[in-house]
Amino acid sequence: MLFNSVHFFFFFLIVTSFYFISPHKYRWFILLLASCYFYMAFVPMYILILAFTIVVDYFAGIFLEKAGSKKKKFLILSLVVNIGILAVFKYYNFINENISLLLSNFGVNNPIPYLKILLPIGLSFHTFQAMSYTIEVYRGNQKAERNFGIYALYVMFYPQLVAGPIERPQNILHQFYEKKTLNYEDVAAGLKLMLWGFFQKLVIADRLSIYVDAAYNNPQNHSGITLLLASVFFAFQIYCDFAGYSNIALGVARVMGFRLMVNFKRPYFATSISEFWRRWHISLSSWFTDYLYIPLGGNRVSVPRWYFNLFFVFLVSGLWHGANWTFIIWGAINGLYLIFSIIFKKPIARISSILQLNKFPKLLTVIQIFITFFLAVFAWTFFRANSITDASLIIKKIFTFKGPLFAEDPFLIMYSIIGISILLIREFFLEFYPGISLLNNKNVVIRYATYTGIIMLILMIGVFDGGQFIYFQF
Amino acid sequence: MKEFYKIFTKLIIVLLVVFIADRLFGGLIQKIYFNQKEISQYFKITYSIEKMDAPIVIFGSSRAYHHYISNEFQKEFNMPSYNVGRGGNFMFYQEALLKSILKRYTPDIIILDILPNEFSDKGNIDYDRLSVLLPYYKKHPEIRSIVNLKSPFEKYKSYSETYRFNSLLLPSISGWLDIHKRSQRDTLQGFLPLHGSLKMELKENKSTQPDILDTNKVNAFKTFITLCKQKGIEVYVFISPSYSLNEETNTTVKFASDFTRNAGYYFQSYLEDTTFLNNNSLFKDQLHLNIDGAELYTKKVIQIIKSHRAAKQ
Repeated sequence: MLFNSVHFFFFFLIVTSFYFISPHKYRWFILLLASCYFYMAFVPMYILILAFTIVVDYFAGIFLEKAGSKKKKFLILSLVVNIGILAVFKYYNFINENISLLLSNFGVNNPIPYLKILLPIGLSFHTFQAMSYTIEVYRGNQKAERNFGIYALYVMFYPQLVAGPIERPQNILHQFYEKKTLNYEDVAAGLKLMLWGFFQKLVIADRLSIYVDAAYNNPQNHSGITLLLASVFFAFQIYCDFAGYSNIALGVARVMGFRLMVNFKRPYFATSISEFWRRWHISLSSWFTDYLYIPLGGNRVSVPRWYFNLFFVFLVSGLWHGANWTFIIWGAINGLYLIFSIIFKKPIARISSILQLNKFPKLLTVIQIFITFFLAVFAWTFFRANSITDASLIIKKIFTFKGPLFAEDPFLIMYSIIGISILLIREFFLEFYPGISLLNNKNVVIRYATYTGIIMLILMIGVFDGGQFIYFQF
Repeated sequence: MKEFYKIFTKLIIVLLVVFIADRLFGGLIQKIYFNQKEISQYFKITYSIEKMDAPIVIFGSSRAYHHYISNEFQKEFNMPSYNVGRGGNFMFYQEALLKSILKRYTPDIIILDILPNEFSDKGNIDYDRLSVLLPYYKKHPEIRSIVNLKSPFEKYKSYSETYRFNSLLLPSISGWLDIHKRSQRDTLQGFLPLHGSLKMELKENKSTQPDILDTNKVNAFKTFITLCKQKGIEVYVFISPSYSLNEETNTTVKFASDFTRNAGYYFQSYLEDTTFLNNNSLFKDQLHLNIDGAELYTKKVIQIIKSHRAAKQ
């Protein structure tokens, strides 16, 4: 069930109403039931896979707590099951395809068969959320959950089930026990988040996707200028698609009194790539930091090992996004960005001081924001391209900067620019003047006019035939 | 309970303000939309649905729009002709247009151009394109059942005045202020010539996927033909030339040909006509004839209709 569907509107109304009408002791059950329905609206059978991992991780958590010195075995068991399922459903065919390619170079046929399977929706998200539970129990930061239903709800809580934020047990589990009352502040804050999420998705992301798809699915026939515009558009499309989903998820949960992790903090206002990653998909970045980067030694190791840790984490992050070399290269590029930003930190600072940019801090910030943005755009090219060959062609064409701009429907570009402008103006104020907010303005007229304005913009220029949220595929 | 009333009251206020804004904005866009100048692309739809009364009407997608020179029909048959073809709009659109036209008058001759895969199941795309008819949803009850194919909630969404004009604000302003692309200015009684020619070699267009028919599209075609039959209109169904080697025996072509002929109407496919297949200079792209191709093709169609009519008399 998509958030941007009429079905979801009714589902949300019914579930929220039942949630508040029901006695507290049954509420977790209502949410669990609703979450099962929500998940089964995609491919019903796949709930069995989810149920299997829930059972394994539930018992793993309890045994972990009881096992004392042997607890590592249960952690390994849980991780093997989770990663194993992810590997089979997400990476099996990719690995097999590469084996076939490798063997074909030696004239050998690959005897391993391909699997005809669909990737269960949001598998990477709920697998990582489940893994964070067993790891936290292993580390002693979280008590094992004894109520099976509550644990199942931790993995399946419908607002964040298919595209995050990837929650930590310490943040969410205790909230399922708390008695939530219908609260105006929560409902208003939740609905505002949802409204802005729908704006991001329908007005910006889905509009931009029309142009991006036209250019990226046929790069041979488009000019460098068109591909550059499409690449910039994609940067905003992926942001608004994913941040839009996250905002709706946060909003839905907030209406019921739950507070989920903030997943995005205006990433395109970051002044460096490392800052970008502290603002982009925060729940995943912090997951990798806590469970991979730090266990590898983080930065408290030799310099070459530190670089390796950074590179490796981003390579895995790329692979997490999809079983395709384009994602792996995207991860590698981001890893290299971070390594180079460390290596060149001093020379860059020296250049800034030679150019006396330090005397103009605002100008320096603007330059840094632009450089970071275009570095992100460059990396996104690989993320969006259908193949590495396409990505190479697109980058080559962009750098030649030739040819006419594809503007078959000039209104499409205009609507896209309107949407991006509204987004950037809002984020500019949130970033630099956080006291000024239209959605949370103290003046009731301004506030209501803003709600109405956003709804009218959605009705006027939102794309209602848009596809699924991009991050569902991960 | 106090909190519930507070939330409920505020929600009602917001909904009320949105309702008023929806009426105001929707009303404004509606006004602009229906007052576009003659040359605009959306004016053509309004004109076709609400005003056009030519005895010869050409239906179809962009291939009809660029292949059938309305003036030539007018000259040859000595009666007004209009090309209602519209790019990216297929059988559902033709059915809706026909229903609206028949509500006002009965044309003498209808030419329907279909694609070789007109009735194929292509997912949601052809249903999504029905949104082009949303501005007429309220005023034209005859098209509602067709627009409702888009989604089961379309009738509820259409209560919003603004939603019906979704994405139409800027094109409507452009049409109202008469700012148009140069090419659109060449429109002649609904026909738009294409200039330039194709440089590629002939390729085979063989689909590996089985051609599964979409029942709704098939029904739209059946309704189209049946309505014409009931009204005693002469109908000619064509598949105009493409610059690719298509299979004449595909499911759409076979069904269209059988159904049309069984209804006592003329059907002709030009997919294998060598006059066109051997001459890429007659095409703008693989799917569309240029002006030279359109002139040659229109002459052929006129000849067919003439001889068919003569044979009947």
